[in-house]
Amino acid sequence: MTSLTRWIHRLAERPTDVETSASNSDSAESQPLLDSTWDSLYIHRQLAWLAARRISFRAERFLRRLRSPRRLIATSLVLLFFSFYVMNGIFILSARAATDPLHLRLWLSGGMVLYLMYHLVKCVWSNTRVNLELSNAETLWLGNSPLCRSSLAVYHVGNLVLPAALKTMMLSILLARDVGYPLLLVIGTFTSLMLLEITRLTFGRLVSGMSKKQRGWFRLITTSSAVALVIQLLACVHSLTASGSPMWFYVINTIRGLGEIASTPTIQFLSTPWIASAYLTATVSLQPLTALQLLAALGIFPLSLILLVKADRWSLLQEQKRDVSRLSEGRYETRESQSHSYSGLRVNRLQSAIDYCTPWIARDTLNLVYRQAISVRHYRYKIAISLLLPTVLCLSPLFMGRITEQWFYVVGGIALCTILLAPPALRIDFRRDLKRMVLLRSLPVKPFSMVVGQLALPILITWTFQLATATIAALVTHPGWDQFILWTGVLFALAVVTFAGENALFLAYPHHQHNEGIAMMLRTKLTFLGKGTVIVITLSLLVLWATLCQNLLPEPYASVCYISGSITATWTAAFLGLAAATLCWRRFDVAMDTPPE
Amino acid sequence: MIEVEGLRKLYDSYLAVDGISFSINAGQICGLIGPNGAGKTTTMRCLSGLISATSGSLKVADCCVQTNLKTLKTRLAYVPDDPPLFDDLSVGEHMEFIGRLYRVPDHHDKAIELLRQFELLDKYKAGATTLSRGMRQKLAVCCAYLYSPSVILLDEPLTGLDPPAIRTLLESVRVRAAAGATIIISSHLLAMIAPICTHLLVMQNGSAQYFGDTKTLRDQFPHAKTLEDAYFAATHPDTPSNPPTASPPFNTSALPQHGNQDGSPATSHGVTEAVS
Repeated sequence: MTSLTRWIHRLAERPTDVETSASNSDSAESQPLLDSTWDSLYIHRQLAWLAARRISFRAERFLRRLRSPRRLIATSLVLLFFSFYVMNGIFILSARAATDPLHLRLWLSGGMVLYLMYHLVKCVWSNTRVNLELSNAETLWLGNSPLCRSSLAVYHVGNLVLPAALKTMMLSILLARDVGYPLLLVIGTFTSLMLLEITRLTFGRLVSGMSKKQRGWFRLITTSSAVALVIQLLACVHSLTASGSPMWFYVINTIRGLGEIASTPTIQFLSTPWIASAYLTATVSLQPLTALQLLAALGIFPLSLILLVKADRWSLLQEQKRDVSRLSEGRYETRESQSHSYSGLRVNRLQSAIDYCTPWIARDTLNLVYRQAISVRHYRYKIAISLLLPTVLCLSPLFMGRITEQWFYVVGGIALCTILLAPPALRIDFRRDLKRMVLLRSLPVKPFSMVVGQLALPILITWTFQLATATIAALVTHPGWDQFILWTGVLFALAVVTFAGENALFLAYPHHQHNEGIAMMLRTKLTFLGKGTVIVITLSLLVLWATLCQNLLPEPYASVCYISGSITATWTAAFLGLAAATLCWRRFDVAMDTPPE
Repeated sequence: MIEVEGLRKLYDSYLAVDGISFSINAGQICGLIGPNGAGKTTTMRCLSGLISATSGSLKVADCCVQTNLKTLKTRLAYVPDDPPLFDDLSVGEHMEFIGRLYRVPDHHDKAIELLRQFELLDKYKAGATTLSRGMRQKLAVCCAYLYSPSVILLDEPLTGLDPPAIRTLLESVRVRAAAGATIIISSHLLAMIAPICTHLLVMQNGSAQYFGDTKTLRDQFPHAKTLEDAYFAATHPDTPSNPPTASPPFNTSALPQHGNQDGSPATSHGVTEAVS
């Protein structure tokens, strides 16, 4: 890493003719506000120097943290995971049957489009305006420097190279068995991932520049397309799976179904920019065409960057035009008009209601919940979209032929979604408050009340999702009240355990919301594996408990004992989870534990 | 110099700045004052080109902000309130980067000199996260001074600084103005900036309540004993403590030493008195 910095340093020191001429012409040239022309090579070398310095600093910090006794458990898990991943790649994945190159190509290119579609739907329903995703420091120091916007875009894309390289490494281990030329696999995968990131940024800028009406239309188009894709996927899975097949068949066929959809002519047409990279990845034999594919895969970069810069320019112009027209038409508020419309009375009444209706011990918690509710209102569309898809997926077993197992499949789906999908979709807890930890610490709220207040809303939303899905499934399958009470009781506790565990982990090893890089990637994988392990252990214990009850007690008592025992055990785990989160909150040291941004 | 004519800025549907106009020449120091939410920071950001003005004409350092932004940015420095730094760069690397980006000759030596002046030299290799609020502020000022801009916009630069640092900063502002820089300094610490300001721009609710030299402001409110009194008289004209008519004549001897009334920069003696 240090040698990389030294190399960039030397590169940045080297003067060029371009630099000299640029420096001479700088004072005379006239650049418009929304200039999208390109800076001299000198500027890009300085930005590369900055990026290299930052990477070097982060790498050193990462290595330092790995050696830290405070992070001994995390380090051990990381090393274990890496060993497991590489061993799995060498010994298990290399022994499987190779995928047909044609399918591999279609899946890679089409898969990128499907992933982009997911990002698009998220983006159009988000209320946040994306400004090239720059941090505050970058906005100040680079935005205030004599740089073109294009340089900011190039700089940001440059910062995406390392995360894309790491993802490429993981994917390459996975796909090595399927290809003949590993180097081309690496190049093809890397260019595909980079193009995906640039396209995602480009659409982000385009959506930011859209008017309310345009955005509304775009929402309709993207959401209806996504819904159509989901329906197509369900139909595909239904046709691929014989009626009455076990659940894991459905899981496997869902992956196959995604592959089928990715291979459809429409998706393949949309994936045109990724075609060259996909061909390159699945190269069977080296031909002159391979060189052309390599050129096309690499050549798409400058083209996509130009499109990003143009989209950025268009977005800025549209925002400016809208402001000017709003100003000229008098469609704005001033401080005076805002103070007239202040709804202080309503807020005060609500606060009074909280104070009046709740015992003093719960007031702190409720006030924290009230604050979280404001955020939920702000992100309501995003949350609804994030939970709609899991609901549809969980209910998909209802289309299966086996009536007796449908209920359990739905419950299993809800449990999986609760553990795996709900925490990333509902980050309205400690995880979004890292920058406000000092403020939270300073509040006169007891640690347990703080934890409950912070976690209450995401848990309540998850309960709503669980209850709605389970009720629909119960109405269709009629599992009986005992089953309904048992499983909703267990699932509710599972939601508490999940969010408590997620927050405890965050407080023990905090990170910024938009952090990327190898540490975050490993963290995600390890958490995923950890959750998988928890699911397996929980299910095993429940099965063991059911067997014990059935074998040791007569029938009416066995059911009661099984239900009450299961609910008690899972709720005990839930309270233990909350206690662990409280302990981690107590232990959290604002000075020591807050990581740099 | 800075020439602003009818600047208006809309944030979504909120009018943050409503048609302010003023003009400041080279060598002058303008104190930008006003209550929280008056539009001071928005005005500064529009002048620096960080955000675009919705309407109005802005000319800064002989460059039109709307059409000549890149050239303007080589001549202008904007230091925000509580500046965000790169968490993964050291103090020295911040200076190094600015020196490189602005192509400052001998930037390393100049950086050392500035860091020494602001007592940050011992932090040269320290990471930005280890700096206190005041140190971050000083580092941002050092970065701004490194390429000797002809226009300097300082947004609440005194917040978080210790008394010696305040003295150093105000002295440096005076020296830069004497060398020909145009400076706008926004602050709530009126007593601190009064001695060095040649002009004042008083803002409230997005509008300019007053713009002119400090003497004229005092003349408008002769009952005001200090610049702070004059400010309150301009922004809160209805309060009982600010009678609309003149009472006792304005007593200049009660004030700390301030800038020369002809518009030239204040003396260092005034600065020393104000902060001591």
